[in-house]
Amino acid sequence: MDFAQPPVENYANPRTCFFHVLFKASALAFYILSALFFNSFVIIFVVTVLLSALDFWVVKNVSGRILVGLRWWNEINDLGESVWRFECLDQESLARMNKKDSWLFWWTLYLSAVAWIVLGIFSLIRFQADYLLVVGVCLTLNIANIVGFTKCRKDAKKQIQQFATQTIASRFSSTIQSAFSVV
Amino acid sequence: MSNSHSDTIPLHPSSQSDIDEIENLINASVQSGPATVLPARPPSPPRASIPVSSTPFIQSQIPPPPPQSSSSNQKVPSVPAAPPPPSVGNSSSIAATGFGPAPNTLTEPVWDTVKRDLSRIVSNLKLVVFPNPYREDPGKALRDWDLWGPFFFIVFLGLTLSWSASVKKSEVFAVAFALLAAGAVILTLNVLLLGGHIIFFQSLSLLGYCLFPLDIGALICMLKDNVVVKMVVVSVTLAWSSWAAYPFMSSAVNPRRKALALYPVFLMYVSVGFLIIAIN
Repeated sequence: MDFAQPPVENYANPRTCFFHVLFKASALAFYILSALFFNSFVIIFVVTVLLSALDFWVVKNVSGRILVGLRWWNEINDLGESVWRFECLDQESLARMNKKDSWLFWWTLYLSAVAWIVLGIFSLIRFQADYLLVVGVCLTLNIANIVGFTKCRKDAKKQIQQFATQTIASRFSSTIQSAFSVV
Repeated sequence: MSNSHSDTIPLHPSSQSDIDEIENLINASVQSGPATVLPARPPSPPRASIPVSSTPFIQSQIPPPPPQSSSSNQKVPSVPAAPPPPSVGNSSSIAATGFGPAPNTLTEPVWDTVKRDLSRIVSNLKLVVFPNPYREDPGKALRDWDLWGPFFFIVFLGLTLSWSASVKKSEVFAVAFALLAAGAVILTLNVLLLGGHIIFFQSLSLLGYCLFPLDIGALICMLKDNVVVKMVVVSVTLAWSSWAAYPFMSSAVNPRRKALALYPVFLMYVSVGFLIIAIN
């Protein structure tokens, strides 16, 4: 029996993971539990949407970079057209990314979107238009992040493949050139 | 292969795309002849949080960089911060589109990101609401659009209106928020349907920033409850908001359709103005 098993991989960035989950969970929790404590819709709205917006910012700017090495944003170029940019770390760094981190990242991203959809269905059933507004805003923010990062991941894979083939091709051709020059 | 070196290249945020540098280094390493080196770029300062394992090859290409104070700032802000750990690797990033100057923001400290976003909000606000030479050009006017400013202004306006209201506070807030958000979207669609050339998010961002004068008006009206004062303040801020939105909207459409594009904007701000006056 093999006792010398490698230790189970731990989270490489526990603090980032924590914050990544914190804002999502607190937005959902506040929305669900607030009806027990607060009568005022305004407070519920403002706090939930604020937490959701903070979560959006954290995921887009911090945990996306640190946990999965991806980033996306929008720029307006000189011609006045909008260009969506996707950025990723090079392949070695991506391969070194902690598996647990990226698992947590993607799963919580999808799960929170599903949770908001469920809450939205509840408020739809109860004909509460104002709560539906809250859910709508939070859902929009979540989905924006999901779409952005999924595109980023696909783009990253494509770019890495292209880059790899490009460098291999150039290396190959220059090797052949140098081989011929020697002859 | 320089791929293994590539993740140790520190880059200045204003330097050209990393893919350029990587390709140059690869070309330089492979060719024995004179390497095709791109024209001089600003030297790349190291990022203090990420260890740079130097190789003689890299050092010969890039002159010793001066330390940069912002990247050596390890301050942990109250907002979530995790200094990028060494395992993440360094500043190599592959921009998916084009070779334009891609700011290397993938490994910057979190505090830098926060500062950058905050300063962007302030500069956008100054661009939109205060006179400046670039107002006529929609392409330049709000190049770095962001939705944080509009978000804060809309929420602030809703909160102010809700505070001033003595009854039905929640409804007032919800109505104000929905009106402003939906209004901005519809106004943008209006311009697009008129055959104008604007970018959706840029226009949303602009219309949100133009709410700033109305925010001030609402705040003053909340503090001073005199009807005459309210009317004067609201008309002044209304004129200011419309003046702020005018150049951007009008230059986006065909000159014959200017009025069609501007009228709904004015209408929306007038209705918000009435909301401010009517609340007591």
